[in-house]
Amino acid sequence: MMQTGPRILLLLSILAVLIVVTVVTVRVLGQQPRWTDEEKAVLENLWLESLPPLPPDPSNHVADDGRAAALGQALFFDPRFSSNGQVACGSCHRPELNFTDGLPLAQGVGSTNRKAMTVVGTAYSPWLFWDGRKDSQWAQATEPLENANEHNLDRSSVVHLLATHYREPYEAVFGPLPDLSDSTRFHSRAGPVADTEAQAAWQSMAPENQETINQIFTNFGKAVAAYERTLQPKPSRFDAYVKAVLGQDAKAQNVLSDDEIAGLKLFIGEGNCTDCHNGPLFTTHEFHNTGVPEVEGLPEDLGRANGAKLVATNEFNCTSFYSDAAPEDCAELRFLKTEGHELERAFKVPTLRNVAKMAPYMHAGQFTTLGEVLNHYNTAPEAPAGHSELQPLNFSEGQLKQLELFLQTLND
Amino acid sequence: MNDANNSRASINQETMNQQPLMNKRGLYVRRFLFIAIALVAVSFGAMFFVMSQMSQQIPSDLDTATSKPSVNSLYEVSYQPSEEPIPIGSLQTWLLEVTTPQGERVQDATVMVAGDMPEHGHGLPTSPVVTAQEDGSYLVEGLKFQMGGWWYTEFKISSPLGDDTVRFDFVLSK
Repeated sequence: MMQTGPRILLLLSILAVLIVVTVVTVRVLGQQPRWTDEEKAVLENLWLESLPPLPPDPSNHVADDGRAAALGQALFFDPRFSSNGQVACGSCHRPELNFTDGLPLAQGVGSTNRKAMTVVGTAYSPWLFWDGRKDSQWAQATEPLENANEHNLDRSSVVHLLATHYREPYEAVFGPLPDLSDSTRFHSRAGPVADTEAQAAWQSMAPENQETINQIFTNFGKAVAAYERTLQPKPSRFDAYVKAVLGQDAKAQNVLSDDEIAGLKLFIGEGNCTDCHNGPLFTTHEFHNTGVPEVEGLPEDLGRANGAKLVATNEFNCTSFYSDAAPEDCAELRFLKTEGHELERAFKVPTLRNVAKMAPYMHAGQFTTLGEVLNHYNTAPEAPAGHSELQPLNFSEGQLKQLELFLQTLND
Repeated sequence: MNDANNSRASINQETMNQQPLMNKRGLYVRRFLFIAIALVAVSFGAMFFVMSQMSQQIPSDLDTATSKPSVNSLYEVSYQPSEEPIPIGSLQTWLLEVTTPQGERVQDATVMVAGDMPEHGHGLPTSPVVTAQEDGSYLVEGLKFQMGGWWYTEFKISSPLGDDTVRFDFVLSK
């Protein structure tokens, strides 16, 4: 049997070797770059500086006209364009909340069935609304005006209000307004709306007079769209971090904490979040069923399955008479998918830029906090209709918190 | 292993009876050893974790050929994307060549296209259109791949030679 002294020495030597091995291993691992080249490519793809220039909108000939944008901005915030004089586009799209309203369901003259989406960055999206039932910003902007729960007007009223309050700036952009004083040709209240009187008045109008009203009504939308095109996200702490990573500026990388970086790692890695929240706007602009629960009391909502059919036949879509686009400019509409099981209860992937300012979440505000949203993705429950594309993440509480911290770095 | 432990235990039992102080020291040593081994295990675990994170989850036996015979070998089919690498999220046009196994162009075929992401349970986000070109090739317009990962497109080809299908698998980087 070995003497006690040498035995302890031997054991201590082994211990020393093991400690050295451990320290060296940890050091070597620590020297590995935090991001692989592949991950850096993903980060660069999410970086705001990778956002391409605004795509042209051939369906709107005043899209890039500064006078149209100024008119559109005034219209956007003018509550006179509502039945009670209190609802403007800006009521549900409030600048301080990243052009959302902080409510689960948008409130106009009445209560709607969906949450107000942000309009920031929508110039990049081929489809508008949660179900993509419109294919341009201008076509989107006209619909709430005639919705009984939103502005609760009709298109003829909108046109008359425009002529009364905005004649000069309108004519500077779109040319002279026609004489609308003949109330037998241009009823004061008329449009294909829920209100039966206004609807009957609309039906009684000659097609050429309907066309005149539609032209001015869609010009309202085109001016608002020219303003909305100017609403773009600004750089966030995340963008500063990516810049530092790509520029190999170690000091500047301190702009994110270790937990935020760990959350980012989960976001682009195990979380598979970039499957849908990809690109500089953190959205592919597509539609997915993520098993979001129904809201009691609201009618069944099939999402894209309905929206795709609606946009195909919409009177103001890209190929319509009121669009300024040539047929070959309407490729997205030409290749529109209107059938398919994956459209059922699929909703538009929202941008995650400024997501922390846009609570509550999902198409009907089903989740109050980002924590609740992440819990949903972590457990991936069955969809109430159709098939959820989610797989449970099974992340720990700590990992979910890191993801949440990362999402908060997207505020501008 | 158990035997060794048992024998060591019995030795310790003996030494404890004879020299209680020595046993206490031995206990410390074993504790140090245990901690050291645990540290090494953790660091190796971390190393394997890092390595596993670096590996890609592409199916190992995936056939990503861009030119191949159809299932029943009626046709030889190849495709050429309009942009390479195939980008995510924008409309794409592919040029499809359909020939007989002998290499003669099949010009009068009806070609239908479908696509899918096997791991996600959804197909293409668009309805592409296939049109025959004057030179005998086929233009596949309106393809869109909305996310990175494993995709396939499937073409159903009908001509006087018969009906057959061909599937092209490919992996798009995220």
